[in-house]
Amino acid sequence: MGRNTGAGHMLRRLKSLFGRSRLTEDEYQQLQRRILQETPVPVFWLLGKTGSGKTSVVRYLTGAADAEIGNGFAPKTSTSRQYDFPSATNPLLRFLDTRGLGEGQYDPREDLRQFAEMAHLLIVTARALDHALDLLVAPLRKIRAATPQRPVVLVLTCLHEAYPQQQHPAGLDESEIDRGRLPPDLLRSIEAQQHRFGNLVDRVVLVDLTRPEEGFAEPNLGAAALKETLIQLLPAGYRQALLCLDDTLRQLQDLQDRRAMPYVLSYSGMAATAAAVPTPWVDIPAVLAIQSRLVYQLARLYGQEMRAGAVAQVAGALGGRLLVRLALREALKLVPAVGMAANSALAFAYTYGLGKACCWYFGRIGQGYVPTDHELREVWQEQITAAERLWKRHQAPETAS
Amino acid sequence: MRYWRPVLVGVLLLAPAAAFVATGAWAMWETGRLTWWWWTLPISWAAAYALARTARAGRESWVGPAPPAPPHWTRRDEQAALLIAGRQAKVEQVSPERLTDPQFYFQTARELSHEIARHYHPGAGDPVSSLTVPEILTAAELALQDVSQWMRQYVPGSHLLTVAQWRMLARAPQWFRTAGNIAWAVSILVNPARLGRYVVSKLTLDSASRQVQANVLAAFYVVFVRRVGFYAIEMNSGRLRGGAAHYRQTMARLEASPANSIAAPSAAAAPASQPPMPPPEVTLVLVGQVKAGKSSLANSLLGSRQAATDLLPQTSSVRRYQLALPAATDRLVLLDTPGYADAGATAQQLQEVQQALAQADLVLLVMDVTSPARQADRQMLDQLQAHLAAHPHRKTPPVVGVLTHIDALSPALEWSPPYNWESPANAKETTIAAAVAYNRQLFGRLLSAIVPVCSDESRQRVYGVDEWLLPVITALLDEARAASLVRALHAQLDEGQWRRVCQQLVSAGKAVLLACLEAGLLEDSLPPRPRDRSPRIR
Repeated sequence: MGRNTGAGHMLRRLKSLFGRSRLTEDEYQQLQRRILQETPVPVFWLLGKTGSGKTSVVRYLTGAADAEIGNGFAPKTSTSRQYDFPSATNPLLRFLDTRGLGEGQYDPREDLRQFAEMAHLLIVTARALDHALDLLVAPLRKIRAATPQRPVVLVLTCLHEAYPQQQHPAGLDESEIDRGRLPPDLLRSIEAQQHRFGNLVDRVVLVDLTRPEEGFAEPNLGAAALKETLIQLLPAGYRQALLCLDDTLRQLQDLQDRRAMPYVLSYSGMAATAAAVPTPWVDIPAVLAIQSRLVYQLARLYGQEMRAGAVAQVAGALGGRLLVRLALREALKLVPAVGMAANSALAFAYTYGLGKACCWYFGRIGQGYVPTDHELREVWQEQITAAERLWKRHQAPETAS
Repeated sequence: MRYWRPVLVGVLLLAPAAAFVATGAWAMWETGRLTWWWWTLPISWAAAYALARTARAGRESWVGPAPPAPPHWTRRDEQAALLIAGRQAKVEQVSPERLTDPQFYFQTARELSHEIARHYHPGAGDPVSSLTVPEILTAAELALQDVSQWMRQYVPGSHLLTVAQWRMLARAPQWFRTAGNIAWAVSILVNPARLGRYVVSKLTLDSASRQVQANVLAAFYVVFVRRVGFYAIEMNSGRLRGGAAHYRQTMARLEASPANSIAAPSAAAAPASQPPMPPPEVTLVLVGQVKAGKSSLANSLLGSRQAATDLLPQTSSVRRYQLALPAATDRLVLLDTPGYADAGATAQQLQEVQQALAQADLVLLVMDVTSPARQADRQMLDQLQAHLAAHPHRKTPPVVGVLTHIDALSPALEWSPPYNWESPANAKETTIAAAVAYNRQLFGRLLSAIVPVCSDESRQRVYGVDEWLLPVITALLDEARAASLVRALHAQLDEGQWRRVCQQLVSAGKAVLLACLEAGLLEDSLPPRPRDRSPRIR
């Protein structure tokens, strides 16, 4: 019976390919759930006392604002909450935060049950000078004992507390901190922390993440090294999101573009997953559905959702070409392994290109200039090439592993 | 007569005024205006009666508001005081006739002391049974001392009053009424037209005076209940075990005055024969999570670097310092304790913190303002409450929350005191105020006050200790001193208990031995002489 309905479903999707029907909202929701299960979303489990810098780490990794992060967290268990970045329906990165520490007697058992399978990496945060840590060490010991294979990174934060009202020591920046430049007192404290945590952690990273208004010359001291460490410790298949985000955000200055980028990446990733189905033709409706939703999402982000004309122009200029190209490449799937990779890459690249072109287009409209179809197509073409490069660069480890 | 001189002085002083009144009255009677003037008397007395009636509605105006609880009272004592307030409120239901009955006062005292004893010994079948006889005698002694002092102070001429005069005085109103009635009778016989005046006088003056009498009686009753209740509380909480003199002496030290410590030969309460007691030793205890800044704060308070401080936890056992505050005459002791919430803290260290807390008269809960995790501090306060619940005779010491490291608050690169966080005007002041508000919300009434400080003495950055913390400590010293005295009193009494039993055994044994010896000696002499000397009991 299941096979029957499966076959019926496939037929419907085949029909939809030729424009005779489109995915209903229900179908899309169902599809999205399935795709999400298969999309590699890295999950970071944050463990640290209140005020130890968990939010700063999330802020650095995502580029989101504090308030956004604060509102993004939703209760998960009685002692923890979850933040899907950029949104719960299109997650690129996922953060689990144990709220219990330092606010009540924290028992990690419930979280362990819930997160044991889910979390790829445990990030333990502590202020470098804070030695009142038994509320942290005790649950960490339990977690480590339960899942010794999960990597644990100890992030020592707030280094500047060791040299109050002074800038960071000269020669330190976003890259890895040269410990030789730190004040000896701070080094002693760091050594005491390392001794305390011992083999409960796999790596120790020093950072000092401050808000720009604090006035430090380097607000992200040592943060690049942290990101590097996290990427190294993540399972190979889950590195892509972080790498792509890092890669693409670096070039963007505009606030709206920076906010839109995670959505473009998460939709592209979903499209890639949807396309990685070793049967020709069936995934096209799914990819198209994802792409059309991306266009609407971006229109909303750029404040253009009320202008049906703008969305229609994008669809008109790019929609037809997209469909034809995808349909042509579908034939590749008849050669199983190569076809799969090519299809995922293509779905990723086209979705990414579409998203970036939309961002550019809506951004221009916001500035009061309506680009022509020709210009739009040019940008799209450009972005597809960029996306292919991005895919090759960051997807390489996966095919290797 | 010994008093003829002051009496004569009084007579000479008052005689002209009395003559003046008399001649004035005579002059008015002569001119026939006295009849008119007389009417002012019932009118104004009627007004007084009306006023007294309104006073009856709010008895408070006669009795005065309930005095604030004595500083040395514990929470349990304050709860017991509610029983007294309940008794006082019942005065409305008591008729003036009962209020004049001495038996009623005796009964009230018994009921109230039973009620209070039951509050202190809720499980006991007979709550009074655990009290000792000397305790009850001490309570009675103290209450009688109070009454006699009150008599001396407020009843005019009481030092001249003999029992015979007292009895006469009790009958005085009756004489006055009889005399008044005779005068009226004569007056009406002479002039029957005065009958109307007599009726008016009876109606207004008598009821007004009765009203005044009722109010005075009620006020007396309220004061009486308050006194009885007070000593019942003192007795049940075990503070009278050392006798009346010891109790008075201890309570005299509740007030901070240099006179207490240096020279107070004529202190009213303390007998002159006993040497003045040294000023009470008030113990301030610094507690907090590890590295919260307790030792730095200790150094800032002491004004010199006496406690070792470091970036890593340094204090591993309780340290004791003598503290001299400019505004305090008490002997202050500062205890610096090892921090808790440290994974490396030993059980012995934690026990030492508990012991230090057990002798705290004022707790300074030191908290690192940059580390908002407060669970360990809450636990510590809960333990303190649990300790006090297990020792209800102890007074709850005030707890001051001290937020340290305010220099590290955002903006972190700025430090340029003075700051006025109570009305914040810049970014630093705003974050300080927000930190104080956060902790106030977190701890609520568990903390008497919250004070932000920076005690970084190694960088010469001490700020807020003299400006904000010392005034708060000084303001709480009265409360702390009371806690110290109550604690010291109980410690002294508990410690002395067995020694006293031994002493009593020795003196009783001596007495018995003496008696035996005497009896043995007397055996030889045949005629059994009546013993003229009873053994002295010390």
